Amino acid sequence: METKRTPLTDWHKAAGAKLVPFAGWVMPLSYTSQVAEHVRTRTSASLFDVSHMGQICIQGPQADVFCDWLLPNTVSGLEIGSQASYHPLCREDGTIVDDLLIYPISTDHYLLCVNAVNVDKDMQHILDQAKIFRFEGSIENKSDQFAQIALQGPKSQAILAQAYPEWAELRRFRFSCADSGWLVSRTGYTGEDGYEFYIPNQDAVSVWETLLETAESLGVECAPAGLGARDTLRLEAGYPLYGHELDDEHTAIQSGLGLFCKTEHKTFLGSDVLAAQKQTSPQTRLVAFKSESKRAPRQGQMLTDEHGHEVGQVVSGAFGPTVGVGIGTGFLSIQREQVWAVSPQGRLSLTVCELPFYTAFKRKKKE
Amino acid sequence: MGKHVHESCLYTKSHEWLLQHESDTYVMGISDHAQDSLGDITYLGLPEVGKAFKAGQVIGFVESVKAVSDIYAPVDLEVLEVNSTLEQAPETCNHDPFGKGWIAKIKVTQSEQLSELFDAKGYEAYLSEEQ
Repeated sequence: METKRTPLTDWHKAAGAKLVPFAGWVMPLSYTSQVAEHVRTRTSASLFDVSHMGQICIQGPQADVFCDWLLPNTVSGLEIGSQASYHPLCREDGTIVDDLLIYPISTDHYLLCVNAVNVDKDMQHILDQAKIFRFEGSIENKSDQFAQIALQGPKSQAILAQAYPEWAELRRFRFSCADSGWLVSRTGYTGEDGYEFYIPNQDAVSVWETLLETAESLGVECAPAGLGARDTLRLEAGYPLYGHELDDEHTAIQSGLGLFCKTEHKTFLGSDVLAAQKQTSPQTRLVAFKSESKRAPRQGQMLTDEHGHEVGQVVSGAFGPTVGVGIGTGFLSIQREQVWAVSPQGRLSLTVCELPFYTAFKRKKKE
Repeated sequence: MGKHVHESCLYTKSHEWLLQHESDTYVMGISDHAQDSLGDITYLGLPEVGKAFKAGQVIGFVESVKAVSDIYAPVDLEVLEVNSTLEQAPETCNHDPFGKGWIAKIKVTQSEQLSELFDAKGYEAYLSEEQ
């Protein structure tokens, strides 16, 4: 398979980025120190080239009704042209095809932002469901037409207010479209305030450089960050990543996405199974855990109880630069408060905890 | 990109270095090349003080943002002291691999094995071969 390049690949190369293959793309892993890129995103701002992300357009009369049935979270209640929402994309049995953001551009035009690794699988799934639903509009993979840039960090708004003031006042999860073909949203995958730009490929370098130059002129520390930092940022923030917390085997409830499955309010693909699982709480569930030192659990390691009996497996694990300890997630088939990750270097004791490990946002305390 | 190779150290194929402290006591660590390929180092699994190891045995490990790598005994040795400042600041191994990022002070128990290690020139040649 040919490795795809983003409109910014040459820019990354010139900047000395370490480039790696990722989901069929060649993407920057890091430019300097991955930990420094993580920390800067938490304290100031970073730019991420996320042009590998996929975009699928669902268009036609009844696109709103189809999307509301296809997806578990709120679709019909979203403000058209300005409010996005997050969803797992589920099968009838509740298992997860992908996770995505949906942007209702108009009642007959919905844009889905999906994972690069899943674009083809998503297309197939949505086309199959369209047949069942008798949705007669168009479903198109427009991934190659969009570049995507994320500006993330507490200083994002200050940069945007100078560079592109028309978007700076968007509220969280709100978006706005422009005649230029741009869509900008107050969203991100780092647990920090920030914006994502969905723009035609030819505009990518200019947006990227404008944001960097604006930050510099303001004296705000802002530089590119790679996929490595993006992964530890999202893990600290408790955001799932497909292929880790989300997969074809576990349901949205098992993966901890019950909050995004509005089984009480609507009927949708998979709602029967997901509603039942909300009641009975499945045996195998995703949990989060942390170590007491900087030593981290690692993806693929077996998890055991105190007697050494297998109770699960690590799906994500890393040192969390902001929380300062090793953090991770895994599926446990038997629930425990303390588990051990097994590796050739010896057992690592882990305490099961609530997600997120870190938040910059005010949140309601769960009782 | 040429990585720094400290002139006075001895080196292993697995990128540990040894520097003579006095007579049969040596300081050991991981090379600049090793820290550079590992990326940000986030945790050091330090060997146990007082423990003896045979050449080639795993004495500890390094965790980085990219991987977990074992640290091997360059020669038969006994661990005299470990650099416990690395517990709180493992990134010192990135910033100063031949200095403040030292990992352990050891006693070499089979000194004739030292001749099997690379000197700085030999290690430089080995690094350029490996690339």
